[in-house]
Amino acid sequence: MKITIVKVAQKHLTREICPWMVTIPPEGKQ
Amino acid sequence: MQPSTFNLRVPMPDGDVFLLNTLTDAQLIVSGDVVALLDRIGGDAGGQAALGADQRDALLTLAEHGFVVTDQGAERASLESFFAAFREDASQLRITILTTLQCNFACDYCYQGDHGIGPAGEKMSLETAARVAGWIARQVDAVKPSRLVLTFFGGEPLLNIPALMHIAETCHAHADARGIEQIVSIITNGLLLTPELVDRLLPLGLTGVKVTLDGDRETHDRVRPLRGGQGTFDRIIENVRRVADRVPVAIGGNFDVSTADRYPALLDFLKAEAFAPRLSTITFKPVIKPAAAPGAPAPRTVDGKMLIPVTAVGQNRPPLNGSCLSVAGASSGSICDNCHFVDDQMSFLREETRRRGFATADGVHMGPCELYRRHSHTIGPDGSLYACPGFTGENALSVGHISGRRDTVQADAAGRFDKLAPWRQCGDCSFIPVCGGGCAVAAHAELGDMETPSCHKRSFESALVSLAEEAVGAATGRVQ
Repeated sequence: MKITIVKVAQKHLTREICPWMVTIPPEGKQ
Repeated sequence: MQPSTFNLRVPMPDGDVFLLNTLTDAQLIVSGDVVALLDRIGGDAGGQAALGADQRDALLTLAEHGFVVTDQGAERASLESFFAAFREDASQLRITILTTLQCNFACDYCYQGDHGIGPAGEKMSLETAARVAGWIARQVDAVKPSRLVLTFFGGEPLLNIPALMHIAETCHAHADARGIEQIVSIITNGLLLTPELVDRLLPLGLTGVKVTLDGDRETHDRVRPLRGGQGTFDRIIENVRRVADRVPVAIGGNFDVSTADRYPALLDFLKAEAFAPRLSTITFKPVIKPAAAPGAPAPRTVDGKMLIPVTAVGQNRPPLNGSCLSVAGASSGSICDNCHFVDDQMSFLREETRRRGFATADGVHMGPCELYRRHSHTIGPDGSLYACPGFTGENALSVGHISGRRDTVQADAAGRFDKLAPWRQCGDCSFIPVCGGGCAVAAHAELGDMETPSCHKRSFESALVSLAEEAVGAATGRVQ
């Protein structure tokens, strides 16, 4: 039984960008 | 206990399996016996009593990260709570401002139509800009966000710098006095982008500029010319060179069947530029044009394969408001073969971008769209309010006005957006939390019904495999 955690569960998911549309900016991508 | 509805699996060559849960965003690499355990509890709820200690430990870990749930009915309620929390999230107040619908470019695919540099009514006056800033200030005081996010868009937003600066300065002063962080970004064609403008905006919270390039020089100059027909590529690149050491620049590109194969050349060009490490992301989106005239040769890919031309649905509709994201029903499969071209090209471009070391959207974390945020607004040049920038071309879909007046048409539109939840038609699709039923603009433009899902499951599935390969590669050193 091998389990390697790559990314833990998150309580709040935030998705800052909208890849669907050209109109959404690179907000916060420093 | 049951497996989560939102588990996704990607088998890896060494026998391990990459697991992603789209509701919790947890990612695991597990051995085959863990997957067998998941299948076992899914098929036989009564078999859990016979589990060994190591299996119970594995289940605890799986449950901790959302891969195992008490029951799928309760999980469905969690999904609705997730969307409700997303809708009501007040940590950010996000405002997209169209300082003008005018543009100095003549891109033939523009969903906003040809606004030229004509009527003053399509350009935000300073008086309106002052009222917009006042409306945003009132929203700040009502919502009390920790962050105010301003995005300037158009038309070409830099054709109206006075309005842009007035709003950015006024809102910054208001937010700063209340301890609220202001973030500013600009989506521009890049022609009027200068270091001087960047320097003025940096103290006001400028964190990014997005510039559009539609392929290499030859291709870009063909599809994104000035209104007089002159090319724009070299001037844009020169402007990016001048600002890239001051602010992160993102590149966005629009592709269709005739331009998609020109992107690798653009990527090679960008990779050779000194500013390459300063590019924050490179992303692409499809453009769909009406079908070619009868008898016209079918477009071909770079390797000579024939393509199905991407076809707009309904000649009297706008050209997909700038984003393909064509039809497909629930999770039952596509009814639009042309989408496969788009989905496959998205995968191709994503891989080409990554291969050159640039950051790009992973293709899995695509939503939910900010249209579903209560505290996300788009403001047109005349102060009209919209649910998202993709609807700004349609007056009938304005949801109000910064003056506070709202006519019956706007009230009706606002009510429709408030109730919008296309994911409820998506059955038990595992991608719902990262898709949300797709782009409402695309559904509206293609189907005439924004409440119908705009499904690109094929694209998600392809992106998931890439995400898994990347995750496993990065984690290899940590696997025990």
